[in-house]
Amino acid sequence: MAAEGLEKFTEVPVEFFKDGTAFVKKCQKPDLKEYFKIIRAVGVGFIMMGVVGYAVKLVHIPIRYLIV
Amino acid sequence: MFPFCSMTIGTSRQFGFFILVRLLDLVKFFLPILPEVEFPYERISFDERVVFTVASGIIFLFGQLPIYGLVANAQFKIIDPLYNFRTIFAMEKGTLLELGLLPAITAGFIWQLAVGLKFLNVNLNLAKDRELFQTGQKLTSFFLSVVYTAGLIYSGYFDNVINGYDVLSDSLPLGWYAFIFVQIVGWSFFTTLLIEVFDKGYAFGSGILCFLTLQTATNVIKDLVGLEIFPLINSNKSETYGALSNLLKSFTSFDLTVLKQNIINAFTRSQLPNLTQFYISILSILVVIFLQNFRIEIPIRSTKVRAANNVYPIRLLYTGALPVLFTYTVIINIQIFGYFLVSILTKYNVSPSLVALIGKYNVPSFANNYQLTTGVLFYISNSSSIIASLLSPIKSVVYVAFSIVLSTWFSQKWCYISGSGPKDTSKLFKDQGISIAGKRDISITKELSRVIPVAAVSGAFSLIALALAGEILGGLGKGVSIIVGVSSAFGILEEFLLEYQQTGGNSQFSSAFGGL
Amino acid sequence: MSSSSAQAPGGLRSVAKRKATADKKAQSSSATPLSTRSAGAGGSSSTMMKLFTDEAQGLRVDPLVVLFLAVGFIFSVIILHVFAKITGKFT
Repeated sequence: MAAEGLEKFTEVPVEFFKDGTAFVKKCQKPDLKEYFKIIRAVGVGFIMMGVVGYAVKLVHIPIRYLIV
Repeated sequence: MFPFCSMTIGTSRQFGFFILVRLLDLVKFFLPILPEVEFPYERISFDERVVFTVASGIIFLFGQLPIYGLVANAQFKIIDPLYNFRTIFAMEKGTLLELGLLPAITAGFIWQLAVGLKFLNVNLNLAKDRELFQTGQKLTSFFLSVVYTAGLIYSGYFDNVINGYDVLSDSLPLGWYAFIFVQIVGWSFFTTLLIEVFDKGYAFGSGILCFLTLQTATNVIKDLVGLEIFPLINSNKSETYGALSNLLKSFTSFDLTVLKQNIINAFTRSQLPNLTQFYISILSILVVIFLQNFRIEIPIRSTKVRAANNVYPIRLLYTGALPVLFTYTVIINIQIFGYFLVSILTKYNVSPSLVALIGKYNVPSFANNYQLTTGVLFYISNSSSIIASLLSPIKSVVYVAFSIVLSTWFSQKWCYISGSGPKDTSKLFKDQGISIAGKRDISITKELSRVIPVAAVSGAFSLIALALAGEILGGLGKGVSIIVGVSSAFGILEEFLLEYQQTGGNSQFSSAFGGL
Repeated sequence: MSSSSAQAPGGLRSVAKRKATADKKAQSSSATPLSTRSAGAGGSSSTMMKLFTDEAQGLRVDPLVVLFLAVGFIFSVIILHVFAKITGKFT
């Protein structure tokens, strides 16, 4: 009974790994050109957001200094 | 037998309905006083959405104002029990964003999982129930912010930074407590409303994920080129915050040995961001982008138009970064309530050995953080460096196993809950007159159910593995927030581009974005 | 669908089959949706988490009002700080 339970307990992850690796193998991977295109798009968006956000943060430094 | 059977089902449903009515009645009671953002009367134009996104993002970031009532530079003096999870939830120490997005995210997960797993009997087909469902989320978010703030104040989190208050001699500063409470809860309230502005379609993406992305992007930039000069704890030196700006500053000295020392320091300093962390961040960004484009392309054909073949991609990261976000929401809630529990028990003079079973905090000499040393809480917390994770292997294993189990479980449930499971997708196919090439209509669901859950679970597993790799190396939540931020950025970018294409480029901003 | 039309209508088997499909249909339609998206009202998708999808009865406010109120809240905190600083200097 206990052994059976244990077997079931190990069976699920093993099954999952099998399915998962099979899936990843079947997956369409991005080619280099596509990958760089996406990196550029996401990178530009990310850096733009970051610069705007950091600008707001920088504005806070003098405010902090003035009011506290 | 049949009528009997249906009767029992009827009563059980009625029983469930009874609970529902009581619970939702509780929500109904608050309906007239809760503000509710109006739905847009007409379609919001692309330009308006950009303006709303930027404006609410900036207002959100303005919440980093220091709390009134605390001493200057309180963020260096607060002893922090949550330091290793802050960045994930945009929680800024000693500011109005003390709770960040935590109440809203927690409330959302609680309600959506409770309904999705049928703990609550809500019929979302009815508009009335849907309204109460969303008001319930809002109410829970407010309620949680009250609980968190009250807990933090009660456990003495702010005590050593309140203006002119001496812990040993004065009586409790109730007035200051009230001020702090109102500010944090108030700003949390506005944060929830800002999220609602996003979710109702005035801006791009979902409020929570957009704010998280914004916060992550800001932190990446700040860690790299931050210009603020921070004093180092327990030493008389101060260094520039940004890793790169600090390194560049060190080039001003022309002494070679000092320069060498400075360069080594730029990679290894522990109190402020160093370049090693920065490279880990960049690496995780690249890996997330790579993983994001793993997909299985299912060949589809239209049932209406002949010879209209296409592919329907099913992504490996089918549930995006939500499993990772969920995992850390659970962990931080355990940590925060554990911290409250420990401080309550300590106040009531429960024996220290018993309290240590839950958790025991220790303040190291080099940082103002409460570091866990033992107890249940210790085993589900991340480590501050790779050495720390190697020194306590049992804890690392428990932490990793706990996170993996949580996130894979969530992803498996979420792909059904969120209305994008095999059944819902095949319904979508049917509505749009699509079918899988070489398959009959009936077997679409079967075909999809062979792919979608596997995709969701393996995607969640690979993301959490990436997140945990960063955590074991001592990322202190940075890797996690980057993973959540970048994969949310994809969703936002997608919506943005879709909308941009639909406007046909006749927008005021199109010239500004034209160069990209 | 196409398979049932191939068979001659009527007969015991097709009645049973029809009943089974009808039952299945009834079951799937009576099953309550698990989320607002599967109820067809937007909300959290597989990768996006959204909290608010419907307009509930309540104190309806314009989004601009929300933004202004939030800014107002920030300013009230700033004013508190400034006020404290000024009074602190004179006492």
